[in-house]
Amino acid sequence: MAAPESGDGNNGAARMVTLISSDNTRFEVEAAAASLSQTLQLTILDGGGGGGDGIPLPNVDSATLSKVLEYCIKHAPAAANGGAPNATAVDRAELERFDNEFVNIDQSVLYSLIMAAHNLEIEGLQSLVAKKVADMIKGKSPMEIRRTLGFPDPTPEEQAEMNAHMLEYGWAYE
Amino acid sequence: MEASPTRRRPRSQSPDAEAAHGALDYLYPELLNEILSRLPLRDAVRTSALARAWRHRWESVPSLRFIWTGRADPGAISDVLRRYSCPVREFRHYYVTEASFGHSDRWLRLLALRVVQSLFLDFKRSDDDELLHTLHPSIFSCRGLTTLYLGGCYIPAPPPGFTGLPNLTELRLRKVGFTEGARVLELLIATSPLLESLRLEYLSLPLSNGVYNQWIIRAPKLQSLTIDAIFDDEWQINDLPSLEEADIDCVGYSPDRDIVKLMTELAHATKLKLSMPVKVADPCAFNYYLHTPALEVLDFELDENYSEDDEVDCDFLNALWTDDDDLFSNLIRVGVTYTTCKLSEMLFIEFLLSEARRLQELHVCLDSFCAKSNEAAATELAKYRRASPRAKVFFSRND
Repeated sequence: MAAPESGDGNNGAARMVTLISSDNTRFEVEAAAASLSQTLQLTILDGGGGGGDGIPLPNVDSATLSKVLEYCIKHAPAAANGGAPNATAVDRAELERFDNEFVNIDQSVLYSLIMAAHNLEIEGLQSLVAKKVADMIKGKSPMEIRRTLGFPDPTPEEQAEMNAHMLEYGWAYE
Repeated sequence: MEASPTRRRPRSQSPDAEAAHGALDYLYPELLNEILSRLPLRDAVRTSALARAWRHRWESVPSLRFIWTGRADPGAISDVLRRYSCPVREFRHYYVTEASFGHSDRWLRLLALRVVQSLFLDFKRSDDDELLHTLHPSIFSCRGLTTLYLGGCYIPAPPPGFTGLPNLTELRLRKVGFTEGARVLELLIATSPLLESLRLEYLSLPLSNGVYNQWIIRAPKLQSLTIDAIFDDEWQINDLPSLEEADIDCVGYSPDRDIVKLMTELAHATKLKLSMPVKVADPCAFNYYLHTPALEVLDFELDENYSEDDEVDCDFLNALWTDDDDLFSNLIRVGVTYTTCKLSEMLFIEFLLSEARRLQELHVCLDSFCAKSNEAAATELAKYRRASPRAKVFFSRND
């Protein structure tokens, strides 16, 4: 599951870098896309990651990394435009559509993604996932939140505490 | 690119531990905070019922917004503020009723402790719009404030040693009174060195011996000034070198005041809206906007009662006609509202159209008392020579 490779390595083609996931899968990706990561940006600017070297990412597995790179590739052109002040409404709408679709995934993947985004310092991705998880919590009762977030069913003791809390903070449940 | 869902947890945990809590528990605290800080306050508070580990978590989530309506239980508000341990970024209460007046003193003390940045408090007034509540002086201890809106209350004297609100950039006071007089307002403005935006709407300042005391707006960084007042409570402007926009609506503005001084003080503005008894063709005021090259947008709301001296104004305008100065050079939009098509007003419009090279829009709104028909006025306007090829005239009537 590597990122799409461009056939020609030189001759004005975009510079490529290689990232290596914790489970030793190599991803070749345009330097511009990988540079969305503040963590990687400096290494890449210093000329790292090219050729056979590759940049090891010991705390990101291949499934997560491929997802992270999918985001970076999609967002790289806009980021290169300095946050895309000249982007057309169509471009922005397309990115928004992509983002909404992108986070429509299993929760465990969301958590892996936000951790990876945090470690790699990809601000846009981190806030995209944070917003998604917040939206999953918003407007729900504690019981619903527990279910949504995959907490096990509460013990009777926990249930009693929950009820007591709901009494104490009645205004938060109106 | 398809991603297969991974079963891997962000941090390696024993399966038992995972079973005991949600996976969310294993995120770094700063990531959890980033997620929770996006929640409305009540949702954040609800998370404390999730499990024991979550009990106090919301209390240290930064950047929660405290937004309340008139129905909010005032005791609950105090309680939440007492428990919350981070600086308060934003606190808004849209309608503080009489039952909450006493509580609001406690809120302000807590908000000062929690270094509130943005504060919005609107207090209930009596049925005849009289102010009922006097704010707690803790407001003067909220030194973290960047944005402050107060409505429907009296502001007391600051405590001795008050040195100002060093970070305040935006101040809006609506239907606010000052128990100790305008000097407190003057002080509040003058000791907020970063103030960029000031809106003063329907203030109620005390009279002394039947007259208002003069008070001065001094704000070196001020960019936007809005004054809405019925009576002329003797505000003065002094040195606003950063001013970009001014919108002054003051029907009671005393005609005896020095209009040239006011205009000179407003000289830095590029957008100016005046709804006060100033005539478009007032010879003194006119001199000002003739020679304010920065001015781009000029809006007048005229006062139909102000009709004497029409001939004098016409003479003045006619004398200007031969002047070949570069006048109105940057004006883009002009509005003349409630005109009765007095000779001087029409002369002003004619003069303006013939001089303003960059003009794009002229909005003329006839007053309902205007004797001239819409057609007659429009025909007359169409005859005037236009210096700007792009100038469009928009025409309406206030009926």
